[in-house]
Amino acid sequence: MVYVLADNIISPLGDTSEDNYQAVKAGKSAIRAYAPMTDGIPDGFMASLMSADFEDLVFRSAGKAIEASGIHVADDRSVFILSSTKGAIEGLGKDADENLYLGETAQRIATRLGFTTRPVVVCNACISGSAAMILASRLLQLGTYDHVVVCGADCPQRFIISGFQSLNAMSAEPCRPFDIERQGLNLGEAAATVVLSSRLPAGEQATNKSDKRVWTIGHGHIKNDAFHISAPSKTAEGLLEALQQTMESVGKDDLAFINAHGTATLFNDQMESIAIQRAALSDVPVNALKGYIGHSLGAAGVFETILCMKSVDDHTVLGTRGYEEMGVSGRVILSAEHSSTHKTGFIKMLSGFGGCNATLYAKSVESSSLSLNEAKAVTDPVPSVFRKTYHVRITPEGAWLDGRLLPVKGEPNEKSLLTTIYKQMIGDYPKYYKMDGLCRLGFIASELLLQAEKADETSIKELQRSRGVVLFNRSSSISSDKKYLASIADKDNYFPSPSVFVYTLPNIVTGEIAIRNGYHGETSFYILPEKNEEQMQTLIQTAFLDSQTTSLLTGWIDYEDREHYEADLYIVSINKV
Amino acid sequence: MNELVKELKDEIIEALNLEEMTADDIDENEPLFGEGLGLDSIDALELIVLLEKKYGIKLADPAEGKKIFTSVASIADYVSKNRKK
Repeated sequence: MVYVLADNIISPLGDTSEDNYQAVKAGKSAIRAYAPMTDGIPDGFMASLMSADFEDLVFRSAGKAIEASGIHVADDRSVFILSSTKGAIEGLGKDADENLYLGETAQRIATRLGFTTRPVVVCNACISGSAAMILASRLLQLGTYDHVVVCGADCPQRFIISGFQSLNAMSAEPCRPFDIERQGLNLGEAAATVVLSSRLPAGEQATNKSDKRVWTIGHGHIKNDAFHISAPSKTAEGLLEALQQTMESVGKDDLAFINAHGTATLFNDQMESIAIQRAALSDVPVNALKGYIGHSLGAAGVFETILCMKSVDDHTVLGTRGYEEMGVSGRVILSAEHSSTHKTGFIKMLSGFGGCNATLYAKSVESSSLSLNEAKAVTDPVPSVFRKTYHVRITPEGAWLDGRLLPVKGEPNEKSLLTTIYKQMIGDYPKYYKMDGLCRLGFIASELLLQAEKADETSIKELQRSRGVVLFNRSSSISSDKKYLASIADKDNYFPSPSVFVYTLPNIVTGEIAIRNGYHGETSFYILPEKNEEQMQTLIQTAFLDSQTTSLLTGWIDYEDREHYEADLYIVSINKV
Repeated sequence: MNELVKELKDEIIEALNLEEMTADDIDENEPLFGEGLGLDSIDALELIVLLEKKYGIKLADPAEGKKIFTSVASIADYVSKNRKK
């Protein structure tokens, strides 16, 4: 079991989880109007912002939660996981690129907090917060660490806000999740932290007080739609898959509510309603919290999970602010008003660009009911026998498959190596031309691996359920970040590019591979301070805690520009008993 | 018109970042969306930006774009009738 030892939220609604919960319960919202030319953005918008410094904000939130938990982080049993989509991206062009890389940012924060282990950044678009908690719970389950501090944060300013505007995704009024008149989302700024542990808080086991309760989290799953890089599946394939798998271990009667992503975009809320109906959960109340706090991106999963825990402690199902009239076709129960509950569990759902979806279950239990053994139990040891089959390495100097240099013909200067390989060895996927450099690199590398694998039709079908895509890098999506920045840099030539903005999420490459191959398994993208095989192996192991996953397309993929890139991908499989 | 078609192909390649694709790779009468190149709603937004940036045409209603963006030929037809620059 994985326990929540402490938490913190810093948002425009307050500096503690309790302040934030009380504000939300009182019906407050920090979403307000910003005038044209705010941050140099020509059009006005609505958002919930603080204008904080990213690193400082994460440090403050994580620091407060660690202090409240009483854990010591300065040993090799504790690790820091940062969940963020864009980190300190607003400094791009002003600060050195390396300083903005999420892995380096996380390393500086972790060191400042006193950690001595290497941090991990989960960069899985809007599901990052839940994905980070799922990763944390799996690391604890495996016994890799005793304590994991997960902090989710994003600080949207000019870069992120103009991007969402270019996608036509922003609402001109406070957002209205699931409502018939919803027009889109409002962005929110926040940092939220949970301290997770495989051990009960000190002294909790001994207590005989029956009212002493502790939060547990688990049964989290990440699944891909394999449909589109920015539009959710109309039939909710990925979210349904994740929900069903979570429900295999959860009793519906324990659910006080399902906390939806509820961004208030037309497609997201519709898709979620379909998933809930198809999973036969239409009679469980649903709520969405974006009307109070906006969409806080990398913070959302952690932020909203904490608010939900507080509300269950308070025997309350929070109402959905902004909701009036049902505007989705899947059968769901929603209300703008709070209601009361005596149930003690909930499911948090999130979905994001790249086609990824996450579900996570949280339940409050009486600590006195937990035996010492149970409190220490480590479940599901993963078989440590990995079979590493097929390996591809691509750099600007050449492409190697299982150590053999691929013969690439033609004028090397005319087209890039990647496009030459595409033309000579693949050639049937014009969407290749739409991809950014990172996605082209991942696409080509995965195609070469799969050509070598030569799976037959039955295994290809099987792989669509059982294969995950887990990739790592250091520089996130720096090449597209720069390209996007160029589209908004000039005041007189300001045309933010929606198609480039989508590619400023590095996990899009996992989505491109999933779409091409119909993979509905887990897709995850992790950013590390540097390429480190040992750390990657540890993280790869966690993916196999999903009982459906038996193989991964995984490895290192970094793309800075046409002259500097590296793919080092392989297929890993295990035989499960 | 032929000049405009060629210009539009180059502009589309540029606007949609279809790096290393050439104008000859696009047939002006082939559908741009769904099949083939498989453009999507985000690319449509990008084409709306292109019309404004390059030709001074403001499409107030994105739905309008659907007909205009059928093929390069249909875009050329619309631009030649509505361009402001």
